Amino acid sequence: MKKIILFLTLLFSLTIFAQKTVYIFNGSSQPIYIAGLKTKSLSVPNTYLTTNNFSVPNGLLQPGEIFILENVSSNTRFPFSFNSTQFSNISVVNWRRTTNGGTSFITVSNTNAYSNNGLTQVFDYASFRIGIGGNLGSFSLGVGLPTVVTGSNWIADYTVNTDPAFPNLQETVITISDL
Amino acid sequence: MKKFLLVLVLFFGLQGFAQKTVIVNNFSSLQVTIFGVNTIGNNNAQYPAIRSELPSNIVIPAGQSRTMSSPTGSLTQFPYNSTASAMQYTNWRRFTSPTTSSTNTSSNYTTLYGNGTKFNFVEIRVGTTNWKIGTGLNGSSVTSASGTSGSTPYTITYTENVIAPGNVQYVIQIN
Repeated sequence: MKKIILFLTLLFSLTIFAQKTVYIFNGSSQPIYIAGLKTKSLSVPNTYLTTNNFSVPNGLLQPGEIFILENVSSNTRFPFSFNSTQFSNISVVNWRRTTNGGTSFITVSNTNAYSNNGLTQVFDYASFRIGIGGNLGSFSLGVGLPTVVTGSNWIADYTVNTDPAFPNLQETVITISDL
Repeated sequence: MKKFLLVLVLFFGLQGFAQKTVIVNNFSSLQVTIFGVNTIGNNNAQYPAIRSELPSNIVIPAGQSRTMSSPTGSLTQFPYNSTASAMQYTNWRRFTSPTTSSTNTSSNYTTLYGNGTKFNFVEIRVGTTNWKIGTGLNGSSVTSASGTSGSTPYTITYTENVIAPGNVQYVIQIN
């Protein structure tokens, strides 16, 4: 009986959400270029992963598109490898990993990063350019940075979705809109 | 075996139960108009805040009710994309400050902010008087009010029913 309850509890928790999800929503009328994504370690400060290698040249996120990193297979791993429904044509091709604070990097596959680093890495920040070719500026949003950045007729903000009723819930949301 | 079935029933019951449900019961003899539904972050911060945009008005005739609930049965999301009971919003506006806001569709807002937000208050009109009724957080809302329309007295009450952790009904009732 205990096993049944345990199983059901596990199943129930898995169906609620996938934590560590990252959403980047281009709600503006301008093209957005994702210049880079970076994670950070919860336990090993010198180990982190970055990427600027996307399936679309220059990380272009068109107006109205949502870039999603989410892996509903795990409630605990950072979604270096993702399997959710995509609301854009852009996805991560691979990641680069450093274990010495950025002195050197090796290229790793999404599945390798997911398996080896998913449990200990969380979102750190993302960098962007906005406007055709980036002519309206650049900015970064993430942990420890200002939560709102504004420019010429655009605004970008960083939010983390949490819910006291579901302690594991943690979704990073970056939204870029027209002013 | 009975316990097993009980657990199964409970489990599937919870799965099918829409969380963060908003219910407006107009049990009065007056017409009620909802002209705004407002949410805030689960952390109760004043901003960002989200307000319904389209349609601008939802009329509830005397004796009728309206409900907002998740069409996908989500256990965690605020139902910006509700299609239930003629209380369906197509667009919402998100405020990052009193003077800065942007608008988008109910579908996008559900995906992006559904898990991080909860009900705050409704803006309703009873007779010719406008009220903000809700949690009392930010927005100067109150949890109860009373008035008279013509010669008809009425009361408005707000109740938050916590059925299970995260499973909350926000009930606004006009009598």
